[in-house]
Amino acid sequence: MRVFVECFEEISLKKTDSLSFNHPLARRMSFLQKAGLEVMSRIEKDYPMLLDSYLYGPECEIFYTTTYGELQAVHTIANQINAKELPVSPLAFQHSVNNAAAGYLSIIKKVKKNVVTLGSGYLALDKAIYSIFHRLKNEPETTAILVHGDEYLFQNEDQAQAQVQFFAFSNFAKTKWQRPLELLDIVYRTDEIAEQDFDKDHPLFARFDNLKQQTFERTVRSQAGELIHSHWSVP
Amino acid sequence: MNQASYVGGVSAICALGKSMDIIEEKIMKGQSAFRRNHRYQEWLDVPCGEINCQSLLAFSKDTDEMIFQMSCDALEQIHEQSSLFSRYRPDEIGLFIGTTTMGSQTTLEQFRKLKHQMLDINTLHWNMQQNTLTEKLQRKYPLKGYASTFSSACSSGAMAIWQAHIALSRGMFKACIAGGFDAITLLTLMGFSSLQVLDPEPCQPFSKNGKGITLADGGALLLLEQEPSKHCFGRILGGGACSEGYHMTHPEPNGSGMSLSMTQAINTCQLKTSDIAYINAHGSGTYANDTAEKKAIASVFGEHVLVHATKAWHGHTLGGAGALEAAISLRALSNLPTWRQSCHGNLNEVPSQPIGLSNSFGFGGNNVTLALQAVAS
Repeated sequence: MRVFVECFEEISLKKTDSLSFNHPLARRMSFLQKAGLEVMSRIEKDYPMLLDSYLYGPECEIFYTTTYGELQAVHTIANQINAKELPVSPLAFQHSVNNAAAGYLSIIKKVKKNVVTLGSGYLALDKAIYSIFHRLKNEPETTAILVHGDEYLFQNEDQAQAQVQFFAFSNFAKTKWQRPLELLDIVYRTDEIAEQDFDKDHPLFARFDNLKQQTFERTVRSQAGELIHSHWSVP
Repeated sequence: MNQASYVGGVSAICALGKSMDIIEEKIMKGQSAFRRNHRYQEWLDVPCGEINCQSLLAFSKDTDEMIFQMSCDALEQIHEQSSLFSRYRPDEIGLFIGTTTMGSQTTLEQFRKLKHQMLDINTLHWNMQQNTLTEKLQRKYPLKGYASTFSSACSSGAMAIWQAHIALSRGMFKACIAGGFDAITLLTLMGFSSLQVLDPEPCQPFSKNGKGITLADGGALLLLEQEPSKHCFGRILGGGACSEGYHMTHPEPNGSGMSLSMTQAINTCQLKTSDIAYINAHGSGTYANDTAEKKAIASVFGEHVLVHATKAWHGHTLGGAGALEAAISLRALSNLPTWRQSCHGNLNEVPSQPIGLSNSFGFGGNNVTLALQAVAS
């Protein structure tokens, strides 16, 4: 069984960017939540029916992953507590859970499927990919959607406030979609690595920024010595 | 996917006590564990289910460390029960933990220090990440299998157990430590206070006098195995999970999302509603949850099922709640004739191999229902 990324989309949302979706709840949302819905909206526009066939299809598993979660909301509450400005913002508290963006996705897109949210730090994205790879290898004709999102604080107007990556995985060829990547293999292992081996300069996580090569490898590591090594090709 | 996983170890820690025997004894006596003189009393005068153990309270100024120590104590209890680390190679053991407050203490401290600096994810402290818990456990114990941290608010612990069950059935590992832990933090205490859902008195789920939740420290771990061990506590038969798609913090008032997760659990395990003898409800104590959940249970099961809302005794442990209540469910199912006295609802006859559900519903509209079967005592 082969594992394909049928569709990949990545966006960086700046303060000045206008959104392509219009919803009354949008004005309450964090940049991360807006970016999550913006990427969905772009896919709906560029690949009509893809989301329908995945989100509402019978055998799709949805993952949402994030490194630090809803930083803006948590930052707001933390500052209010530190300054003893009470009560804290109820909206910020509602938004502070890691799965808040997934919650808005289900509310706005009327998705009733379960969304598995991983808060596994720098390895969150790759851990979800590892889990999806095992599912798709074991269970024929299944699909998975993976949305990874990160939010930033105190950025300038021209800098990204949030970045989101969207993947639609399948183990069968749906050639009508974009299909930019094939996941050839992914390995998880834990090595004996001392905490002091890591510092701020260590290349802990890789972005998907080398899609133009025929094949590429991606390695991410954690403080605990976890290592996830994946091997990709561009069909 | 319908294959069951066997529960080879159970450990729970909460304000009621540090072992399932103590927790059972206190629930049977109707003793709740709430008190007002907790570590945040100067911030908010509400009862909380603070852990009642000096060795853990020593870390009360650092809730991240407290969560880690609770997890270590629970993991060591599991090893004592099951000889886990001598029966499996380190790379054969998975680790699936749910948490929502791990990293909160570091977050508060970091934001105090880093006020108004340009911040991105490369400059933030590692320990603000919730997966610090699994990473620290992997460093301390011989756990080298795939590890993951689940963070879907109050359903996190149940989600971790359900996903561990699925991963075991896919053969990702031979055994998995699964569960969840959280501690009361200033972020959650002040946050729930701002939503006006903290009960000024000890919480009373499903009672007309209930005014909200009571926060608490705690959680639980289960050892899930592909094959039954000598001391098998029961089985995870499967589960159901869904998104409400309704509101960020409120369930759909008729309980349709809650019904859906319970129905999915029953269907994926190929059970009938009449097979279910016991439900450990989410029963948080808020009006919104309890009215919707009551309707959902009635719509799926009618009256003939025992319903337990054990947060009345141990409080709401957030990401730890689903795991703690799964552990309590297994204990209750193993001795239902005794436990039925503390439950709501009717059951004509207690089946010889009782099956139960454990509900966990979280912010963001994430609903998880676990289906469990105990080995009758």
